[in-house]
Amino acid sequence: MKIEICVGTTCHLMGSSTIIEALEEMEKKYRDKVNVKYTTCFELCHGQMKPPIIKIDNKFYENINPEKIKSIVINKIGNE
Amino acid sequence: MISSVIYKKSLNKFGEEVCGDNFQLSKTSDSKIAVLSDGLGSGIKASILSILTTEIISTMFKKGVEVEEIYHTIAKTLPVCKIRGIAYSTFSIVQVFKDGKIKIVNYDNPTPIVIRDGDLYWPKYQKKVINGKAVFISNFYLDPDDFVFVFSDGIVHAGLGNMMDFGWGIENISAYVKRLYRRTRDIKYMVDNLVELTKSYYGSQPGDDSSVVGFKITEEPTAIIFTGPPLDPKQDKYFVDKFMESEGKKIICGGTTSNIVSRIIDEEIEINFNINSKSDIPPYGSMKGVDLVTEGVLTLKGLNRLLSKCKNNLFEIDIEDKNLDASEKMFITLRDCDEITMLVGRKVNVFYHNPALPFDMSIRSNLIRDIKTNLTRLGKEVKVVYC
Repeated sequence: MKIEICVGTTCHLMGSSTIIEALEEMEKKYRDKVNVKYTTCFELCHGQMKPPIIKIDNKFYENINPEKIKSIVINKIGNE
Repeated sequence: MISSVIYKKSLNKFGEEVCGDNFQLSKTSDSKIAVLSDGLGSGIKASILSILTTEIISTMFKKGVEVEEIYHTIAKTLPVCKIRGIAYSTFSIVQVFKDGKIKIVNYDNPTPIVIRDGDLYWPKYQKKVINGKAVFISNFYLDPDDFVFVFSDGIVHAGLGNMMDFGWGIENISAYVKRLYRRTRDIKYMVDNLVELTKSYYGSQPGDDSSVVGFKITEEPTAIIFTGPPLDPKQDKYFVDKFMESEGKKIICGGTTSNIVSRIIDEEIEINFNINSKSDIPPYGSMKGVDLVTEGVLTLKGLNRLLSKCKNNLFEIDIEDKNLDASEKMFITLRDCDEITMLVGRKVNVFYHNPALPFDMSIRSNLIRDIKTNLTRLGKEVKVVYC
């Protein structure tokens, strides 16, 4: 699973760094299956989506916080 | 084009409030002139002698006056010491031209050390006798990543009669500098280290004013910072081309701006993945053909904060090479540059006007103005181009 975290100005201000911390805190069986990368602005924050925005396997997710990212990862990997 | 990064550090003689060594840096349209002078004795008297010497030399050298004439002027104008009956101060002049030529004039200071390709390089000096005193002059060409170190005799005499019979000596110092070069290429670290060691050879009580001036020769003394998307998207390509064609270091500041450049030159942006960073500034990255890619306003704000901390030059704050954040990385990149161009896009990011943002996001133009003021104050030539 490929997770791209935006580290642009607005996403950073709205807490994108907490997402990476949340992913690091997760159990090893989940951590091993995710491939995390930082990226520049997705340019979706101009009224379309609410930052922090992340992209998981080519799908965008908005307004992410540590709890949300954990549940997304657990759900996705659980289904695989 | 060649330029140099110059850093100087001095120790006062033990118990003295002022340093009897003086250093002055001046610029002409095609060169940088650095003068280090050591006044006779120590304290205020020595300080005045050396300040007069550097001031006279810098002014005359800039106007293109010959060394003989400068020396005569100094000999005639310096006040005479009442006790010793002589007017005396030693000096070294180093002039680095933009085409790579270097001129060293040395009068009674220890022989400067030149490091080339990790080895010691001793240029040929031409001896000129003026008023019965020998002045050594050398002209040669420098390559990027060469280093030149100029000393006052306090450094060479460190340890004299205390730890060593004849003092540290230029041979030992040059061997030490060579070892330092293997460890780092950071001019500030090298000079600080030499001065610190001198201090310990003196047992923390320097017997003379001691100064080291280090020169690191750099190839790309210019930098261009592209920040903010151009007002008219139709002009994106024009400005990206202009940015990519420019000489020197290339820095992109801003997510949207880096996306534009990435799209036009068809290269991917790689953001460094450093989860150990404790900085509140977003991470930075790079792209093929571009030296540094960072986030926009927050990084510029951080840069301006660092610049505001410096009073006279960019070496006043210590930055650890490890775990640099984006602002520090940019600060270090700009430290080696003489001329900085800022290509500033005027397109407004609507999201920044959101009152829900956690702190004041001052608009880019104010930040650019402050950064320009600070960089100019710190001796850089700054040009701002709006697009």
